[in-house]
Amino acid sequence: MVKLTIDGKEITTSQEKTILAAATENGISIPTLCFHRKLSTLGSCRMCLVEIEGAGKPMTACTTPVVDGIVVHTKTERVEKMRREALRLMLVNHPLDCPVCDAGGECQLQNLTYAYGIEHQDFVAEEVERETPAFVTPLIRQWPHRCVMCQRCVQACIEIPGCHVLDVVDRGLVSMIAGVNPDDCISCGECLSVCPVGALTEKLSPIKGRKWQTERIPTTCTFCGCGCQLELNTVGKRTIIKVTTDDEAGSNRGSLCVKGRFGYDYVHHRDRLTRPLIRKNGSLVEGDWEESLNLAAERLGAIRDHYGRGSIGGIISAHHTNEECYLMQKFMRAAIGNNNVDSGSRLTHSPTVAGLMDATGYGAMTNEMDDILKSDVILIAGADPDVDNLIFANKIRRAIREKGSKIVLIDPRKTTLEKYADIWLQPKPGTDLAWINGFIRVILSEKLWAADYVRGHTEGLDELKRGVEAFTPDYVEKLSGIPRGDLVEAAQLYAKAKASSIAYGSGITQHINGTDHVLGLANLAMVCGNVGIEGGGIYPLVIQSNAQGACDMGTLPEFLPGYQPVSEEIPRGKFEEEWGVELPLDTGLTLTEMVEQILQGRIKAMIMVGENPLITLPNPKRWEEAINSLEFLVVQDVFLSEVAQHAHVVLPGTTFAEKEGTFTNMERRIQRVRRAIQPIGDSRPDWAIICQLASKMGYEMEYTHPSEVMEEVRRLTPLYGGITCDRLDGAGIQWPCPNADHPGTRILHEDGFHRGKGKLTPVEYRAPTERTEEGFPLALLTGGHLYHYHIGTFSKRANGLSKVYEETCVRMNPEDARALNISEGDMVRVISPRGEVKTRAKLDQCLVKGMVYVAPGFRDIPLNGLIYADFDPVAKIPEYKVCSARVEKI
Amino acid sequence: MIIPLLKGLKLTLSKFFSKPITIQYPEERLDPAPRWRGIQYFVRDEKGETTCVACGLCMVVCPSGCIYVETAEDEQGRRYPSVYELNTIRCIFCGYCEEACPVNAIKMGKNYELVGYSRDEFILTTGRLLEEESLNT
Ligand code: SF4
Ligand code: SF4
Ligand code: SF4
Ligand code: SF4
Ligand code: SF4
Ligand code: FES
Repeated sequence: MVKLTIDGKEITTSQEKTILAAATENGISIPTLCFHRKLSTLGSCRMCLVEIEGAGKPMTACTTPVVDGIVVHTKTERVEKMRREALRLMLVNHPLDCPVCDAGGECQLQNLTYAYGIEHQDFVAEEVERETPAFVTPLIRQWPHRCVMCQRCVQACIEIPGCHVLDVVDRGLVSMIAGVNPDDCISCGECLSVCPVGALTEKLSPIKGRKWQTERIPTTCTFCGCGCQLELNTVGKRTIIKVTTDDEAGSNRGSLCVKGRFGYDYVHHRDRLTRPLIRKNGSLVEGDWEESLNLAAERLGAIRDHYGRGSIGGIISAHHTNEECYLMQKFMRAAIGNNNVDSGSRLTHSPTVAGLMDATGYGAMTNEMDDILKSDVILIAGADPDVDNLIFANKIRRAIREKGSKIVLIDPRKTTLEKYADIWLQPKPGTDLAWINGFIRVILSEKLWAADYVRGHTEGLDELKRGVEAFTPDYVEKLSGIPRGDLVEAAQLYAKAKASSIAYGSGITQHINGTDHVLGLANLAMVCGNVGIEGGGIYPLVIQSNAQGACDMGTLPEFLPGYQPVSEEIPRGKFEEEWGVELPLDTGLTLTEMVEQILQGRIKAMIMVGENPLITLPNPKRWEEAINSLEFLVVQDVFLSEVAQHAHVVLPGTTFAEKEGTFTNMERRIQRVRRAIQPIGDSRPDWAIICQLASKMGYEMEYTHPSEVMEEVRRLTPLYGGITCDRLDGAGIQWPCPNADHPGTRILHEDGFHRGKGKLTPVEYRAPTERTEEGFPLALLTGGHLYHYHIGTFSKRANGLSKVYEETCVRMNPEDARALNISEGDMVRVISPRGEVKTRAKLDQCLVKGMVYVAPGFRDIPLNGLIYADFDPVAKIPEYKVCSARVEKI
Repeated sequence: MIIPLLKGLKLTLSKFFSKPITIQYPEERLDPAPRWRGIQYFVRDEKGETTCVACGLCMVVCPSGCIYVETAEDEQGRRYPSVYELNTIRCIFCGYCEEACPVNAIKMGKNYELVGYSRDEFILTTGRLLEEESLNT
């Protein structure tokens, strides 16, 4: 602690603070321009000059640390004059652009100029004539003349997405900010968001708006599980013109990725469905709401009564709100009367829910995302957060920078995080259990395990010991190709640290043994005592925005909301009473099982809310056959998706910008989704459609607002017991939150495991079903794509995202390509034993030989036709990741 | 008692025989005072378009909140009003909009004839404001 005086005020503060921080804390304002709280200090603008008694010349407050006993003056005539001069100098080259500048009204230079009463400036400089080269991303427009050379953008790009795209080029009057590594730009817009003036502006929307011309509606991003907080800027309650952020809001603290910042305009795409469609004489024609709802209700009712309650299935996507998911399962259970309800999170998140629930009692991320900053070692397995969950990747980078966290990366591909990795293990696709068991064996045999923790808090150690016995480093090397030395070293690194965390992604879950993988990782974490502690934990990374929430809300065939089993009487009774119906007992069908049941004629009708199994699921031919054999299909979507084209009734829903509700992000945080614009055309929010359909079927669902739905959820679900709409304003709440006074839970299992004792489950290794075979020498990997989300239904229609990246491509190792006589940009055919797609080739050093990589689910390149149609026996997730293929030049 | 009556009659008679001061509107019109603030108009540039850059300053300065501007940007980064609406029914003709405009695009005109058969006619859009210009030159 040090004592100092600022402007006559005695201040006590800690010694690592700067004068600026100490002053700000105490309500003394010092003007700044280049300083940004998120970034390390730059000290380039000299606006924050202060005088320190005894020191000869004024010092910059943002860089000078506090020293005991100093006396600081922030408003002396001398510093005010120097600041004014500094401002004048900045204005020499600054054009009088304010009326046409996006920053006008929020520009720090404008504010300072006004505050210092500068009405004209007398310095004249030579006009600098220069060509403005195109900026590194087409989504941002650069206005070099407006730049004040604060270099915030340079620093932000280095520190936050870790890219170092920008730098100052040339010196003196002609110096400017330009791309030095333009190819590294990931269009995250961090530079745009920190620029204090209008030198960088968003280039996507042709409509612009000053602060007073627009409304800023805070909401939650719909493009991934990070659940970033952002503000939709709208004009006239009808058009979204840009996305801004609040540096304080959410765990993203003002940062976004390209999808969140520039992916909004799909909302206004001309393909949006604006009126209900009804199939008449074989083709879909526009109808009105009354007619289409009546038809849907009547047909569904007739099928239910004729074929029995089990003859209808329902699916909702994992980017619908919690309220909608809740209503969907209520609709299926109470209005239809079966448990055949499932959500899109089946395809990504279900192994996590099943595995972690089994091992620990809660099927979700154990710690909050920010807790990764306290990890000594971060093990990243089968995840590419730079692409799928940029905000989480940014946190990893921050942990490395601030805490010096060590990184163990386990991925068959050399992902962008490889450059930070202390150890990179490269298992063959599908052999993850080999290294997981190998790790545990090393840890147990070298006595690196947390003996007290394991004995006190877990069960099943002996079985686990026996289960991993065979996985000697040599054996693991043979199975997975990971050199034994590396394996041992990585295991030691993980186990020896005080707190280590594990982050994993779809490379772990999207396998036929996805649940086993998750159980294995849970074993690993528990053996080292890393669950329920700060800095430890298991971080399943989630691609879909509400995959967690959809599961929480009970769109699962075996669970009522809050993971209360349908088969157990006590929770069921509570629901029966609230809903006023008798509930079905037997477990329903998962999304992946439904197709067979349709083909066998047991399911006659389907309701699909926002899901598109023809693109997301393997074996699309079989699905198409199934869909065509349905007697009745209702699809609710915002675009006429492939499956909607087969529907009998299509009901136009709305996007996240047009409705109220909540999302639960991957760290279990429940956050508000707010309506920013009126529904487009005659579309209606999905929650309202489900209610109207139910009421027409004779089961009254009367809600006037989604908050009433949440109120009901709260009554029935202890996990969400304390969640009310008004408590969610602000940072959101992490479940479990049992009552209205509970602050939410940052870290799960802190006071012992939720299920009592953590369960160590020995998991057997199974070789991947499909190994590279005769005629198909390459291993085909699928994964996410930075500029696109899920299957591209939304993101492909976002101009901003397609501007940067129009089509998918197959990435392959240059050597492989050379052998096949393929060069960059060639059209190629990717063929697997099940089908083929045509796309362009891109050579990529990051892929090892023998591997090709395609981002899945582009609607025009239905990759799902290639992949293997088997699924995990527990979580029923299809095997997306391992598949053999060959590539041919066309 | 008769004197005041005669005085009054004198005035009446003098007015009776002098030239009438009634203006036969609309056949006859007076020129408004030099500083009269009438219905606004948009100044035209050399191409005959508005010079408004859609900065929205008139919108924010207007005390009666009767201006609505939507700003659009073309490929070159130039700004123009994609929507400009001035609701003359609510306007109090204070002239702040003219004063705030950084590019002198909007001016208070001389025209004071604010009539119409529907409310919509009182909303001045870019086109109407450009038409108003011809009344002021
Ligand atoms: S958009 Fe992101 S990656 Fe690109 S230059 Fe700006 S900060 Fe760097
Ligand atoms: S572009 Fe903006 S953030 Fe970058 S140096 Fe110029 S003023 Fe600063
Ligand atoms: S897509 Fe994810 S990381 Fe990107 S802005 Fe949205 S929530 Fe954040
Ligand atoms: S004259 Fe005054 S009231 Fe009328 S539009 Fe202009 S600022 Fe608004
Ligand atoms: S009329 Fe003038 S003040 Fe109003 S938006 Fe146009 S340029 Fe700006
Ligand atoms: S704010 Fe301190 S030098 Fe810029």
